[in-house]
Amino acid sequence: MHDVEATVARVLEGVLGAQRGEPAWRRDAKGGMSGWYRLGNPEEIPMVARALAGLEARLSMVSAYLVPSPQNAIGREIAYHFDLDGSTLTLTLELPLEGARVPSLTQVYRNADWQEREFRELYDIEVLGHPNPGRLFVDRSLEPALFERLIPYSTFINGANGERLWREVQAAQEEVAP
Amino acid sequence: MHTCKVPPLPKLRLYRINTGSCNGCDVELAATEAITRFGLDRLGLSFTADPTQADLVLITGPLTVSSREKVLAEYAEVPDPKITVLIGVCPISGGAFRDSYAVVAPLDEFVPVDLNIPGCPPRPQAIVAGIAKAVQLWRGGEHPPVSPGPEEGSLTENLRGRMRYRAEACVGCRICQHVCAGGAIRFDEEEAGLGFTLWHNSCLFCGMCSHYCPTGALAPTREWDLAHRQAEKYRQVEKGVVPRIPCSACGVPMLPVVPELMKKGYRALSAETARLQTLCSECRQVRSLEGVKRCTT
Repeated sequence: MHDVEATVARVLEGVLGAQRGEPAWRRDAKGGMSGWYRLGNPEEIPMVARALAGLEARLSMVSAYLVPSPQNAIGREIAYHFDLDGSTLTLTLELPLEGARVPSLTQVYRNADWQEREFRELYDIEVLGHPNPGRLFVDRSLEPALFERLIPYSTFINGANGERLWREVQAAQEEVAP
Repeated sequence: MHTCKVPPLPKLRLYRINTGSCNGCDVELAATEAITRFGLDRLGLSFTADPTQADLVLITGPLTVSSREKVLAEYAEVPDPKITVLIGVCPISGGAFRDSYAVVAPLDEFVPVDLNIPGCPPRPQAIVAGIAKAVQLWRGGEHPPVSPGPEEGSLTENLRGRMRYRAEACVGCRICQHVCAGGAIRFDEEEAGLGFTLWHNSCLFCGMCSHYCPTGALAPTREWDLAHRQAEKYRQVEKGVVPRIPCSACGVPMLPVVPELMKKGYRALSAETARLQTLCSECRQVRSLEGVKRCTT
């Protein structure tokens, strides 16, 4: 077994217990390792983060997102991406659509400060124990959870425009048609 | 001796309103005004900074939530009768900003519009041609067209202009709809086949549809004069239908496999590959597997 796999397995077992299993690891064409692991509840993330900080892991990014279905979001998740000397480990945390709460990692990783403030502005997620819970970039006049109310630009530019004007176009074609 | 002189027509005065545009159309409008070879001065016009003195109103940009009140107040200062001209797809349909929380489009829901000059932005030549039509409208259509037309060599080589669609080359992959930044392309299942519609009043002339089309079914035409009366707004479309044909083996209706795609897949057409063109995907797999069996036995 590769060193990083064994080290992470030992740390997770120490924090969460042996019965929880190990991350799924992949190796890319250049030998880079990436591990994927799903956490059980929000309380586990600070415990695991502290243990990974003990391994000198770096928190490289935190991504919050809605889990889509064809019609509506069916849940939400946060992916915490760690770097362990060139290998990546992603810890995914499932959260409910209503009343999502997650403990802050800013006391463990200072760079979590901006990332947590960002996702609490964009999504309906409460961050517990954040030392600096002010707005990061969205104007104070706007309510939080913007991405759950407004159209993300990435969706917008894929032609996800409303139907109203298209109905006018179709009606005009029907007038022209004999 | 008595000489009878016909008095010259009074100069029409143009007033510009920017509702919150990216300034692309405003740059083109400034170029239209400043560069004499585009011929705006030959139309007998002058710009005014006083809305109460204006006859024609030129509006650029999508009407934003923040600017709405001021824009409408300024527009109301222009005395009636007046001709209102929308420049660029933003005021006409909202363009790339349609359905944004910050935009209240289209503008014709708030002010009466006479003429639209689509584009993103329209070229100076298109703006001049559109304003010429507006002048004609103002003068009751009694005068002959006053468009000076573009001078030779005044159009750039990389001008794209209106897109043209060829249904006979389309495979219905819908990549054009996916990459269209303005949401200007739609596919609809119709009785006759797969219907394609491109609405020029939302098209940004970006050329992404043509760039990504694997079979060249969409191509730029360099046609730049798309100015039209407001009544024609929703009729400015490029349309086509890809008819479904029955699979020659199982009879299931299918989109035809066009020669452009076959050339990409097989480089050169042969009698064998030509037979595959009339088969649906499942029958094509069966036929291909039979070929493999023949080769291995």
